[in-house]
Amino acid sequence: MSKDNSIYSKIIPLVIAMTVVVLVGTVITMAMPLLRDDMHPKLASTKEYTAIELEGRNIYQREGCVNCHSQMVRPLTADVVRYGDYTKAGEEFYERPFLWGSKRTGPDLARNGGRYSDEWQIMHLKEPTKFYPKTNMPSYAFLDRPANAVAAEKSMKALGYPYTQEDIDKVANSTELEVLTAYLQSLGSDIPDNMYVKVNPDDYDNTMAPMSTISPETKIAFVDNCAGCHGTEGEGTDVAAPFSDVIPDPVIDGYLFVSVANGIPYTMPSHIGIMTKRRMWELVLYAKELANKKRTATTTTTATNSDMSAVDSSVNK
Amino acid sequence: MKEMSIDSKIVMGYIYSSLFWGVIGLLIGLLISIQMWDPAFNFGEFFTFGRLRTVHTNVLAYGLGIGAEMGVFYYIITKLTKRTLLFPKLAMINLVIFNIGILAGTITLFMGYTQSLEYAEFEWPIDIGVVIIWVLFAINVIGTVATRKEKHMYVSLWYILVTVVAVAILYIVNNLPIIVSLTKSYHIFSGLNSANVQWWYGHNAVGFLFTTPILAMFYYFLPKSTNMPIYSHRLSIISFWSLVFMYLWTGAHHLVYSPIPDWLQTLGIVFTIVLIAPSWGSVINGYMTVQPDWSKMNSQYLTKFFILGITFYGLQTLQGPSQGLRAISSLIHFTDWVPGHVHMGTMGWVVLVTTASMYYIVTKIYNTTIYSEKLANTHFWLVLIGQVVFSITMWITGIRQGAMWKSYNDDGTLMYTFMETLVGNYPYWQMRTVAGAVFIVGMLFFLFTLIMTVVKGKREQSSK
Repeated sequence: MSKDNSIYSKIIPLVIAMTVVVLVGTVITMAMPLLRDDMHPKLASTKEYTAIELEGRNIYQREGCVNCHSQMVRPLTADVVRYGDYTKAGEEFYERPFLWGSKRTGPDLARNGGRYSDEWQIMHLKEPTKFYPKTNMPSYAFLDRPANAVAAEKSMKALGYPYTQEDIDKVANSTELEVLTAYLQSLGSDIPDNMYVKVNPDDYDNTMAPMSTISPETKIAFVDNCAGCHGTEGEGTDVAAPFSDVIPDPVIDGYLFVSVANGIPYTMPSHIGIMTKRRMWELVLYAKELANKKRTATTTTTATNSDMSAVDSSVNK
Repeated sequence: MKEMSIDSKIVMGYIYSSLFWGVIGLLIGLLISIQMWDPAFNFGEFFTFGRLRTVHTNVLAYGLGIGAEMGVFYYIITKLTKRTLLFPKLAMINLVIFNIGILAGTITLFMGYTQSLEYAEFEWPIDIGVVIIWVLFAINVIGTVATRKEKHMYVSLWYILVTVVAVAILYIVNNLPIIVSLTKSYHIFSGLNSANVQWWYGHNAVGFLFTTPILAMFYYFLPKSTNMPIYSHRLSIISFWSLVFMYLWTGAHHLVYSPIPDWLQTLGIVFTIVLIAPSWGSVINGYMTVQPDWSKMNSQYLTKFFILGITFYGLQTLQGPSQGLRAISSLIHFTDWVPGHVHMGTMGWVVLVTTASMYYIVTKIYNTTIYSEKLANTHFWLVLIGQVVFSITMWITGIRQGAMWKSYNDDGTLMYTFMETLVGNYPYWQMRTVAGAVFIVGMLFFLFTLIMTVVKGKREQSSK
């Protein structure tokens, strides 16, 4: 193999040539961005994970949640309306690794924090079919076991995040379900208002308020979206009290509408993006009907929640 | 009876090992396809979808894919260099290390030890093992080619060499860890760079594990099994250099509409489109090779494996770039369209070409003919039908769900809840399970035919 000067008969120059060719795109699209400022921005509100959140994230990684749940809201209307504000570059500063995922077998979780109560998160992780009978999410009941505080502390040390002994004790006194919930509740919290579309409580659309009919579709929507927590007859479950207890009589419809539309932080998710206003109004009507049915049946009067009086009665013109 | 050469023993060892991991990976694939439509098939901690999906991809990409490629490469190299392997014992030892590595890697994935980086899930101790395996492999490959007896280096050797070089760079960089413990580490890159480095790796893992190695096989075994020379060496040279140059620029097409800078996304998309040219260079080279005599499709049973294989490669390299376009990405990203795309590449292109190469190798090593062409043809048709139905159901339901996600009511609110869009997948996912089962039956036909060919060859030799 000598007199032929072609590169294809000399292995060392050939391998070097291949390496160089492979490195051009590598340097420009992978290595150079490492040095660019626009590749590691940070929002002022973006903070290191706490010990309990980081250990929750470790569990999220371990269980492969990223295989079904994305954590990246695209700047597309449909994504923003469904999940909340689109993902900002500055929020990603402490993401090692990034957990954007590549498949949404389940919904995006980038703005999950504060959408549900801790109790709901834990019960849902344990038995997803309880809330969504047709879901394909596996049960994570096996996470109902003590969390690993030693691992949490090691992780915090390795990443150089600040923590106190108290933070570590908190992990030690929690189950893996609780630790994972702490992480899920932290998602998206760098952006103050995590729902892009909101109904202004003082300025809601009440043109449909005086409704009297509830369509069959609304009753189906109630079963699919509300019954998991409120019960199929509004009788309440482990995570929500009966309608007859929480809906005062009389009630300001607009107050209920705003709750359904915007949700209640750490209690109930919002529905403004995924339901028409008409559907939400019908649900308000239906919830009231279920509450009244229960009251009539039991013939007990329910104390009116004094908080209700704080709502400006003018909203229900 | 002629004693089998050590090189042949090495090649057969890698082939058997890849078949073993192939069966495991496919069965787990079948299980997780059922879990997609019935969560009751998740069994406790170690058999939930979240963990098994990772086991499925890694066992098949590394156990089956890399195992088969190392074996087939050793075969091609000894033929094209006209010499024996430089370090045969090292190759044997490497086979043992490889299997220990894949076993350990698989167990750790069951345990949930994962870096959460797609196709780079193995934790750092396993990564070290992978690097050792790859270096030992590289020493043998480069050493044998450097001391070859045949001056000319055929294009398959270049594809093998570039695979060795590129995989080493990709794997080492993306697996750089911040170590927490023996079972836990974090990506050394954070946020946007974590994403960008991972998909530079992720897309090129596809390029240099499922494209260049399979092209090496294609360029060698198509002319060998048809007895027709490759159509154009010039075309193969142009395709080679432009393919390996452009591939590395394309990773960001996985991050369309993500927070990474727009210029990076656009650059990725542009190179993805241009990449169609070198990909189709090989497709055309393949077709034109058989052009003088298409009756080979009928008369030579392996021809159809290679031609259908390169056809799926051609479709794959058109579909892939189209997915990078922003308009299409906005519809199909995050949906089942993408796994449908991946499975056309792996179950169509990779499996058809690799299994045909193995048929060829086994008949040569044992100096015999195929045990039964009929069974090989059955294998071909079952695998083909299984794969096509699998992919099509995924594409339909991907578009279906993607479109439902962005359907609006008159007042601008979304028409469907997430759950409504999900349950519509179930019938398609059930069809996918059936199609996957058909594919697996086809692969069992392959396994049987290949092993019976070995048995037949041994019997013929001992009676001589």
